[in-house]
Amino acid sequence: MPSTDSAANRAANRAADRATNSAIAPSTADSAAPGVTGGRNRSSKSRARRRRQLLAGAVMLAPFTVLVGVLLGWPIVWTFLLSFTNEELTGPTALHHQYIGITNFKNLLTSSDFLSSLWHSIEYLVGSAYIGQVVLGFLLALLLRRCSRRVQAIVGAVVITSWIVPEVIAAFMWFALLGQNGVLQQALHAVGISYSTILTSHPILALNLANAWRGVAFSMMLYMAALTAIPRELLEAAMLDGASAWRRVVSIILPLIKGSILVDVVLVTLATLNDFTLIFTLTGGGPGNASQVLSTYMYQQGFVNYQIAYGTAVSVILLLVGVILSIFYVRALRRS
Amino acid sequence: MKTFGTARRRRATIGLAGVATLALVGAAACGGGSSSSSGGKNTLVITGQYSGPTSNTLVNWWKAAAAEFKKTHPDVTVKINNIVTTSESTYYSKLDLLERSSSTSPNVVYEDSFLVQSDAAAGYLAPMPQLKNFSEWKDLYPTFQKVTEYNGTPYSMMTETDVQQIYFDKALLQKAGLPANWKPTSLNDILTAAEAIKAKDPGVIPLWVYTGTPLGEASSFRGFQVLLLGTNSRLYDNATGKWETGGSGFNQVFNFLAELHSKGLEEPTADWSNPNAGTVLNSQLMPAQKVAMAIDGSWVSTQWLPGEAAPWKNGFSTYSVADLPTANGQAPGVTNLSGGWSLAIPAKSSNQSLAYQFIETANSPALLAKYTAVSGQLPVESNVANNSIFTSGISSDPLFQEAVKYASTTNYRPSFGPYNTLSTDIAAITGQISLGQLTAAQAEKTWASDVKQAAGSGKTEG
Repeated sequence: MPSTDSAANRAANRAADRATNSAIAPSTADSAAPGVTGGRNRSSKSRARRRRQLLAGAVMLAPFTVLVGVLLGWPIVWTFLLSFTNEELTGPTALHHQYIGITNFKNLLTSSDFLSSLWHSIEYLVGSAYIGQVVLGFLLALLLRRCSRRVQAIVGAVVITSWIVPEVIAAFMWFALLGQNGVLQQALHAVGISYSTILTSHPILALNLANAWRGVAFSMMLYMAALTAIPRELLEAAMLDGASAWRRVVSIILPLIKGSILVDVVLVTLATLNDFTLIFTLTGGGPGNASQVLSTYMYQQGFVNYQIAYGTAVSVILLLVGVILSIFYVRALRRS
Repeated sequence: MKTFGTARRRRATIGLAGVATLALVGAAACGGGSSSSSGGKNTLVITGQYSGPTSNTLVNWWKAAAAEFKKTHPDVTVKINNIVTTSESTYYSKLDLLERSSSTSPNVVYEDSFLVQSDAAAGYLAPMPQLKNFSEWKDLYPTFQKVTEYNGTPYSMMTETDVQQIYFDKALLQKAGLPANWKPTSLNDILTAAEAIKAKDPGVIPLWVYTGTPLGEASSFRGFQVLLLGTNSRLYDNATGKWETGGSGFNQVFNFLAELHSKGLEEPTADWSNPNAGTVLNSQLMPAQKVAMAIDGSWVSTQWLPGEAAPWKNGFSTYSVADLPTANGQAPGVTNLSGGWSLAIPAKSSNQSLAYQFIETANSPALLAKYTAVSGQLPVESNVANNSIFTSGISSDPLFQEAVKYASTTNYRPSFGPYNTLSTDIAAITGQISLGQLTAAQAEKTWASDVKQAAGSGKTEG
């Protein structure tokens, strides 16, 4: 029905316009620097004060910057340099490594173990980060919006408890649930269903469930905060104009919370890409290499197989993947 | 709006921030360096692996050695600073990391014998040529003098070892029509026994073999290399100095493992893929008589002694042991492979001569016999094997008494060069065979390419 459609479109556009206008208004207020209100006298006095402020800021930040630079920056640089050598943890190259250029990277990109680890990382990312946390978190926030305060508090408490459980303990809990002779197996056995542990048959699925269970709280809270910033009149007006629930979400809510989506997606992606403890404790990358992701592969190569330089090469690639994805998100979600 | 006020306040703030920075950086930098893992002038730090209450035997031995040492060196304090982990591979990596720097290096380390070669090549260990004049060194079984030699000089002193045995449940075997004093004479014997057991008793595991990456070195060692030593093939050709890419022996062992998988004669994947599989086997499955045969190390039966990790007094009457047969029963009829531990001195240790004297003290036969009697490890020299403290200590474990006999004629691993990589490659290959992902022929091809990549060109043959 063209008429309702265009009505819905108009409603959506109007709502979006109102939103962007209200969004723009405060930012122009923000961008007015305090110094400008000084008015005519923007002379050396004001510039000197600005310079003192900058100096003050720099000095306050100095402890932090130096610490980060020494404790974080230098190891990152050293890791990067090490990936071009043949250093191992033992053997002749342990204390006297040689520079071998990009040999490590060449070996990596032709190694089936590395490529399968990369694929598993992607599966883990899509399953537990995108679907399990971003989409699920958003849906939870959306549904919780119209529940009573009480329900919100209860659901919130339950979800957040799973988030604050330490990662190793969460992994043990899921092992106790899904493992051979675990809680799930015994429960299903009691009703006559046979179950063979999915930790062996579908390890990535098990990891996705565990990670989604653990991480969805963060996304949910982020989206709940973002959704409360959307004025109700917009949605009511759209409803009056005949927009369906789906339309309201896609054309009004999503565009308005683009900033929050960007923050959430970046944080969840980086956290999931670098996740190690859950995978290492729950499946150990196994059985075989069935759930080996880049982070556990890097640990295995570096510290179990003593190939420390090869492991750092994997970490460099992991870093690159994270950076590329972040740039992609910023680009995709920028158009506001 | 006055933000940064007077000049005096500005200087004070800058000064404070500067001091805070220096203090934080200084604390962070020095925090690691002044750790207690390096020795001072009169402190000797010894590091080993602490994996739970069973490691107390090790600690007690060193405490006894420290007490003896104090009599001759009253001004020296011996500190035992162990790395706490149940995973051996974690212990090896952490020890290597400690040995890299003089600020963290211990004075005496407990080195697994198979890492001595590569750690010596790395420059982590100090050579110990004085050992050749040490009475206990001269008494070592010849294999154990060779194991820790690098470029003709010993780099550590072997203190204990182990052998592999086939444990078999007498009752389960008799049920399948085999004798209570069963002695397999070939790999085929083992296979037919396993098939007979499976036919009679589908609920038990016919043969437990360590396989796959989760147990790393154990898989490579007990699940492959000890079997390969019963064939004509070797991992490394001592005569030519090259690593083997294949041969009839490899073929035979890969086929043996593949047959175990295809006929369902080994333990289920969920069991072997658990990094704690060894403990599960020894402390749960065997006492519950769920395993008919198992290829495991000589220390297993000692865990069933009262007061040990998994006391089970019926263990010694339920199970018996046999030596590993050669693949086709050819001379010498049996084969074995040993690991073991040794005491070494890190190259960056600050007190090397004191460390050497401590090692000599710890290796006095009386102290070593007392330790070996309760540690579940085997003696590496006849002075200890014949010592009355030792023989009376193991009198309640007949399976272990058998093992003592196998130690004087065993083999060791070629643990230098690319050995570590090759070992993990073997573990990965056997795991894939047990998952049904590789046939014996494919396993041979994978092995050949693994060896060529790990050893480098010109260092392989076959």
